[in-house]
Amino acid sequence: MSYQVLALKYRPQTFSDVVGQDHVTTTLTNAISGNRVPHALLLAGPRGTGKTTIARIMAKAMTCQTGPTPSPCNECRICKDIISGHCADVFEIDGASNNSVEQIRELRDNVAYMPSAARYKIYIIDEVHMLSVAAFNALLKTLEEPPDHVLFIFATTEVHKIPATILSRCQRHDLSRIALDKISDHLESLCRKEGYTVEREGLELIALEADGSIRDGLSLLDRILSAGPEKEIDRQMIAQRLRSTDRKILFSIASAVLERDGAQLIDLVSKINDAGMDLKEFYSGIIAQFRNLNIIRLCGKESPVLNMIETEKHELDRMCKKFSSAYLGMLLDLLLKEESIVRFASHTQTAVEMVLLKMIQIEPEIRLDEIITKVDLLARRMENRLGRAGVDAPASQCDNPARESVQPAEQPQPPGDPFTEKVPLAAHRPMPEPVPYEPAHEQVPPSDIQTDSSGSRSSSGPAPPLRQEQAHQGPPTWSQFMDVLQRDLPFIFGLFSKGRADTSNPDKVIVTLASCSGFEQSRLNTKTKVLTALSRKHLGKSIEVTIENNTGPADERFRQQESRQKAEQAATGHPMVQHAVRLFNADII
Amino acid sequence: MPAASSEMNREALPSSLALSELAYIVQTGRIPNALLFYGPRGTGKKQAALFFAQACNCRTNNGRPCNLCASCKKIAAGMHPDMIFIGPAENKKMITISQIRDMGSIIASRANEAAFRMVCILNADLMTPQAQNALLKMLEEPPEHTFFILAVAQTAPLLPTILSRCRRIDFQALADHEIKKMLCTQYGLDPETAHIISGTAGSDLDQALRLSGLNKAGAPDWKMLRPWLIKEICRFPATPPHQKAFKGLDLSRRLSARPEYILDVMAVLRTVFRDFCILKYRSDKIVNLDFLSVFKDISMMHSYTRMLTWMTLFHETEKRLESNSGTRLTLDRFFLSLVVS
Repeated sequence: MSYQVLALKYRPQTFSDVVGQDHVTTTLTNAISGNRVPHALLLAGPRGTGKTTIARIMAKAMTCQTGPTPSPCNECRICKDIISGHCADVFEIDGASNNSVEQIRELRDNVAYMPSAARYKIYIIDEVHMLSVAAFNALLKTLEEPPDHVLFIFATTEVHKIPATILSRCQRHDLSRIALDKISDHLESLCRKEGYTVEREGLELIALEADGSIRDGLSLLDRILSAGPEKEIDRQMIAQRLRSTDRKILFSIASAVLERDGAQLIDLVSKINDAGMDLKEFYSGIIAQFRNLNIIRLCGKESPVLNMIETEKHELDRMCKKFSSAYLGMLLDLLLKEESIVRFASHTQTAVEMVLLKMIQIEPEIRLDEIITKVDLLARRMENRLGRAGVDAPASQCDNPARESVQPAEQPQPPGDPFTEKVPLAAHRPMPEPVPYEPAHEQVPPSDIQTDSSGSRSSSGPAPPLRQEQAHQGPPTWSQFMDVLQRDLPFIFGLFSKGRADTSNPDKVIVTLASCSGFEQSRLNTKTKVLTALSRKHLGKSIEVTIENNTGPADERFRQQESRQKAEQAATGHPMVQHAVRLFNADII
Repeated sequence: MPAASSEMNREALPSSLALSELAYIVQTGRIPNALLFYGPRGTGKKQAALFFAQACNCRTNNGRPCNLCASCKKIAAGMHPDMIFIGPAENKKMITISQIRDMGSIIASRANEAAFRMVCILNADLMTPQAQNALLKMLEEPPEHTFFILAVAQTAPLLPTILSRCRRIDFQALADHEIKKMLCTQYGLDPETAHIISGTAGSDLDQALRLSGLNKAGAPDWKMLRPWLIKEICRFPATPPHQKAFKGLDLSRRLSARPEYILDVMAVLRTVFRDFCILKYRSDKIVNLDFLSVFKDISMMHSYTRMLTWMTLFHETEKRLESNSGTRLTLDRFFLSLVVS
């Protein structure tokens, strides 16, 4: 017998040996003892959590010679046959390689025959998610009402790929990831059986790396145990032999990011790359690290969702104390956003460096509440400005003395914090006049507001005289007439706005249009009467339209000139001509 | 066989750590069902697989291949009937499910003569998801005296269910400074050029040799390409705004006219933009040290976030080029957004 890896050697053979899936094993045990076993079971869960194992134990439990029993004997012939994998009545089918409808039809044909030795005929279809759609459909009828002697057990990692019609015919059991301490307990007991002494903290490290999967944990343990002849293994050796992302480096990366130390980050990344570690794995390590930081900041270090060792929790807690949760959230957000770049980059080192450098560009100081306060302040100022412009525009001279009188009272106040500034002043004055905010405004004038206010002030100066002038004139101007035109004769308005009007003549207005098409001219002719009436009514003058430049011959001449130019261009561009020019080294005159 | 062994020496050299781990596995006789050889291109994974198979099957039984017995000789010559190698078929990019199924039917029967039969899947990261699923059951519980070796350059395309069934062995790539040292001592390059080449090649010795033009199938043009390209890039900030788009498009036209150089071009661009970003923190770590003063001027003229934006643009472009989009259009877009941003 050749060497067997730990995961195979110590594959649980009874329900009580299965680690961390109590909710499934208890249910199945009770179902067996209560004689309520369904004819179709579906086991779903992530890799290495015990799907195939439970399926096999189930098969043994149902067919064991001691009768359907929750604890198979593992000694009778059928149990032994199942363990060694050649029982005639237990079919373990690899769903991924036998996934076509043909193979399922064959299975369906064989279902009808009675089992040869055992009580039941059991079909275990592993990786069942890989069956084709046709294969699934071919299975439906058999699955719903199989003969009494048939049991189906399906196992899959990707339950979402299985059609709903199959799911509804099965009793589904979801296997969960296995908790950190359960994995390390299991590893510890196996180490004892194998005759090794391994430090507990080191086993926790392995369990952490295994990420909820027993098989991953056992593969790693295998690798560590067989890497050297030692029988006693401590934490350092494990960290060294795992050679996966060293936790210490992750911590220095996190602190370098939080301290915004770019040089340190670049050094660390190149160090990791030189050590031959997988940078993509390292990147997911960074993501996990910042996720933990976020969780510790939000839920405290006793949160059960943290998958971490105690000493590390304390370190992270200390690290993240002085940062806002919003900032940490932003960092994690950026990491996740840039993940695809890291995954597809041809040179991972550069990509990881860039993401880390981007992270340290985020400013931790920008606090949302501060921004809101600032915006609030700004809005108040704007309001005041508008209020003053509307109400006491003429009283702007008396504004200045008022401001000066307030300013001395303001000066002892420390500038900066708007709240301490605002409260006492509001208490002083019952009416919220704009004045309290003036000092702050004078100290730090936001440029755009300042120019805006000066603009409005200057425009409010000349505005009244203009209005007066208009009142003087009395009769409406050309522009007002255009307004009337726009309302009544939009087409003519469009035409006139292109031309220019001469209003200097006392009894008539001459509108000169640059050019006019035939259509426009005819429209003008039909509207002449209306136009004249309008102009008399609004301007008190008659209107005359002259059209310039609409002469045919001029147009003709222009067109001729254009066509001649075109012909000339075509001639010079002709390959023959160009060739000739090149040949004689000539110029075209 | 001398030719083969010399080649093996050069390539297997970096992975001495992995080799000793493998030798230890053979000595203890604990041969696992599946090994995952993980390491970048050119780290001697196939040689290590052959070494491991020889060691397992060697008649002398001392944990190391003797290179004298019939078994060792057959494996070295690639004629052993029980050494199954699978890789992408000719003109194919992926390993298909039918290849895995064929292999399954072969290993279902007994081995011909080997004590340990090896199934070695080279470039296993190129297996289609279907092929990977079909492999799962075999991988977990292979027939007696059969083991699998999956050689991969990246683990991301593999299913987690595959990864959890394998014992992983890491093959370490050469660090940049080691490549630099090798280029200097063994190939007699001056340190400055060696620094630039090792930085551009990125821990890939073959690539470094190719760029330096020492390899027969080298790219001697690279030495001209790099300074020219960097000068062109550095000229961008100085051009008047209305000509920038024109300049960018012109450069894109010239680059895409020679599609065989596009990978080298992208490698150079990568180093340039990375240098811009790193300059602020570690000016001694940049790759193109000969352009240090020019880069310093440019980084004075632009904000840091802008330089990071360039880098993001570069990564996007790289991804597009890899996914078979038109070279010219992609480069046009890249340079236009570069000058506009």
